[in-house]
Amino acid sequence: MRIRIEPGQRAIELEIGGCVRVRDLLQRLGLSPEEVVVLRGSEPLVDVDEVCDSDEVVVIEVFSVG
Amino acid sequence: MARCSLCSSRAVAYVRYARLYLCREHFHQFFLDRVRRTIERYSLIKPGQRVLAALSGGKDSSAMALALAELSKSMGFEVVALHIDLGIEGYSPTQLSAVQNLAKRLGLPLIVVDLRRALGVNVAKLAHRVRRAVCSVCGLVKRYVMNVAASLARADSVATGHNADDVLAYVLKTMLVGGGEEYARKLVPRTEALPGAVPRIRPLYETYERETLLMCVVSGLPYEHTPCPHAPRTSIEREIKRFLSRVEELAPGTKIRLVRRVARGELGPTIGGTQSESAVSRCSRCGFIARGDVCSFCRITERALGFAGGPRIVEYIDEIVRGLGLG
Repeated sequence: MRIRIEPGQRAIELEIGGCVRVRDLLQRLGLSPEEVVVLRGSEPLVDVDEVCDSDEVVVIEVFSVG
Repeated sequence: MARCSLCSSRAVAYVRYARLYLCREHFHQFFLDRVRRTIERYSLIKPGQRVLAALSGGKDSSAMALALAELSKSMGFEVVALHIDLGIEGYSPTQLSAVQNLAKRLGLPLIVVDLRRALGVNVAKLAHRVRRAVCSVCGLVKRYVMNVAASLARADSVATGHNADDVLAYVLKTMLVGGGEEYARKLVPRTEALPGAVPRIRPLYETYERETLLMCVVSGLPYEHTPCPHAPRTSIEREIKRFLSRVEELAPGTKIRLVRRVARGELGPTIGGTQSESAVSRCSRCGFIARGDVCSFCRITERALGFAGGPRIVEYIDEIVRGLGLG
């Protein structure tokens, strides 16, 4: 799965071997669902939505500096 | 796929403290309802009033502008937008562009105050000349310009995009490491009216920062997420926000309960609650609020530029306001 973390345009490649719930993905990334917004395309995802290895996901950190 | 708790359409938001999955339409309505209830709870805006919405181009003020623009129709008030172009290279042009697009989309009259045109310097140069941190001078400039613009545009209040996370992070930082007590005392939903000072209101006082970002995303609002190049790389406030979010995950509603305690002044005499201002007067240079003979803005510009910048800012904004037919 390709994950882009904004702001900052950091990119992460993560192999999860299938699909995983957003809340579990965030746990792997060490993030709380209360501090990010997760998008697939332009569609915001909620914690129980599933994302899969073939997906491109954007994680926007809410508390950017400045 | 999660479904909206209210209509079973696809959910795009989970509001933990309300235990609601919401679709685009119902999240939009939820956001507006929260801002409306905040306005009513703290008597922020009355029918017939004019509100000057200070817009930075970031997500918080953009979401606030959308909420105020939509609520103004049903609640009977008027909204005018203000943007301050601080002249920061690689940052200010994109912020200005986002605000211009937003104001156009919402149909709001927009006052743009270009610091370089008004004073001949940008905020970084101003700070450098008085040997102060850019963020400190930036705050001073913005507070001054907001007040002057509101006064000249005959606004009853200035609305800023401070959300619950902003308020709590600043208050807790003050309590934990000290400093900033004077500002923390003013972090109330509405500051009081003083001679030469237009009240400040915070319509997002009970709205979470995550909700403002989500509102921008679901509404397709133009906003800039690029951090200011002068912002510190590490921030105690950011760490406090992250900590509070983890607490919120475990105990939903914590932030709302805490920010209401700040508003009621329950966290100590120097935090929130009812303001009691020390003696204020009028600046002998510009006529706006001052503690002493000269206001902070005129004092700092006199030191940096050799002249009091207040009267120039007043003249500059007055021309814009008259051009927009607001004066």
